[in-house]
Amino acid sequence: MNIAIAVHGAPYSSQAALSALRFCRAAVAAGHQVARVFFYHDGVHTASAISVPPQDEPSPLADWVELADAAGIELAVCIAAALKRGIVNGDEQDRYDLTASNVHPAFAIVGLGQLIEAIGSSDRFVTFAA
Amino acid sequence: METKRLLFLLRQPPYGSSHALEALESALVAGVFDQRVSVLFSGDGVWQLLAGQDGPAIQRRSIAKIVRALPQYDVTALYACAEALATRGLGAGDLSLPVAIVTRDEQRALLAEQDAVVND
Repeated sequence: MNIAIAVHGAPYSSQAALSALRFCRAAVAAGHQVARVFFYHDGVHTASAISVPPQDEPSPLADWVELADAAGIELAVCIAAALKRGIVNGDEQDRYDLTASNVHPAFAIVGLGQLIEAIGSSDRFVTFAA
Repeated sequence: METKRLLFLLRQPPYGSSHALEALESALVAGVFDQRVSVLFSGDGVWQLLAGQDGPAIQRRSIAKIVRALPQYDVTALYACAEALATRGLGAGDLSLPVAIVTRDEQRALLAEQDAVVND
């Protein structure tokens, strides 16, 4: 089964991203495909490459990158939600003449249409809300 | 892309967080992408329908304006939970556009006929 995922909660203050990560691992282990995880609302903060988790806690960023690489999952970040929150990649840094960028290269900055496309091309859609 | 029946379930109040705004924006995009879109306002989400909103007074876009734009994006199947309206003292006359006011049973049937439900 093809499953599309949306993550709406921030990586640290909400359980959403961690629950989504565990769900994706379980889905992949059970033989399902997760083509795309779409980060929207405060979920876009998950893509920040400069978060520093406490030493005795897992790194959600590293876990996402590892899972995406192993299972061929596209990590997609909504551009409108990201820019408003200071989540910026190199292209957007150049476009808006900003002093820094912070998006991990494993994450693609995409339009909201990619969320609809992911839902349209999957068998199931699961949202992990804030 | 396959055309699917998508229901956006909006349960958050219009102001106080960005939830309502960003959820409505995703519903508008779904309309642009030719999906069969329904929107169900439930819980505190029914406040998004209230007439006479003034978002700019608190440096925010008016959510009512975005709600009223939905039909221009071919999102015309708009529903509000009857119980949520009643418990908040709201009636059809308080709303900024006409919506179908639906009971719990009608909502169950509505949800059952969707391909996917998009939460806010």
